[in-house]
Amino acid sequence: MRAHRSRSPLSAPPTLPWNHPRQRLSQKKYWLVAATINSLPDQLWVEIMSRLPVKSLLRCKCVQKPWCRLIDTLIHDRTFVTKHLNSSIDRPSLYIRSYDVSRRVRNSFVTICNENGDNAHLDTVIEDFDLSPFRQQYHMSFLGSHCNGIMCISVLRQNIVLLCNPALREFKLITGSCLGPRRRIDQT
Amino acid sequence: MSSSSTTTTTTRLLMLKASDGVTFEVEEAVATKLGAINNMVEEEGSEDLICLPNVNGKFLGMVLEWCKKHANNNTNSDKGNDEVNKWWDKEFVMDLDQNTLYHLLMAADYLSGTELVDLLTEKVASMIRGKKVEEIRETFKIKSDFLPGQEEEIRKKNSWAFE
Repeated sequence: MRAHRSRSPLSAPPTLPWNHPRQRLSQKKYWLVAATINSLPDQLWVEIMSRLPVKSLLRCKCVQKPWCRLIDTLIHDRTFVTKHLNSSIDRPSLYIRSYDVSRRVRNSFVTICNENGDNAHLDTVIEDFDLSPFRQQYHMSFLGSHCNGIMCISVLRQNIVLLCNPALREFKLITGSCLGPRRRIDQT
Repeated sequence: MSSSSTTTTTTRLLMLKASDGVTFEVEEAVATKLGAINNMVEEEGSEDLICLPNVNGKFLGMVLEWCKKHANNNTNSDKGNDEVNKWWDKEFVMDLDQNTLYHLLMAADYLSGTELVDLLTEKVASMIRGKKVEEIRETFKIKSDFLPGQEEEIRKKNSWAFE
């Protein structure tokens, strides 16, 4: 005959270092309470948010204060950034540099996404991003190289390198780079 | 509510007990798709009743139904399994109301059902993706708690995301 000895409960899931005062359900009889998205524990939020494109993440910041705080913490968290990057590998973007009739440069990203999970319907998203503020100030070379979603553009005849994160539209100018003024960054 | 699966002499059965006392008799191969149960079986064997105090019977039943379907699909035929699973997963998440979705997600997370967590988090993500702020609030029935001007400030910082 089978011995019906009860076992100790499973250990609680690990808690993450950030805390945000979202509505929490008490452990006791939580299933009697209607669950909302805000009652999900942190580790599940991380899972959900890592599946969203950056545009959606930024929009989520505007939904409610706790969402804003959480996303601000996440996008500066190395583990989350790596996780997000890994899940974005499924939706690679193609960088296209084109010129219009007045020879103005246009930088765009074309992303093909398969959001419904079937291959019958593919969406194409074209997003432009503007490098003109830097172009007016610096004479920039062609796109040099990229790594993990960060593009590296060198400024000609000056010892300056522009690092650009097109997903967040964030830029960082590095002056006095160790590469020296005459070096052009080549594709690696 | 108690569920019993068709027994054969070769498959071992596990007894699982949910928080509300509902018990399930499940084939070991099905239940061990859940990491937490797999660990318990490895550590302590499969003879005893396994108590799961953090999962209610309704949601444990749903999690086990999903595991059973996937275990069956994987043994039935070699070809087209992925397709069958994908189709079945789509059906599984299609009509879930939000309350069930979140409870199920928490149950799957607690039981370390990684694949099911992936499926359900993707479902939640798909409810956010491509939507405007107002549409997200409407979907999740959330009210804004920003002071006047605060939201506009965030929008201004990343105006391209709101075009």
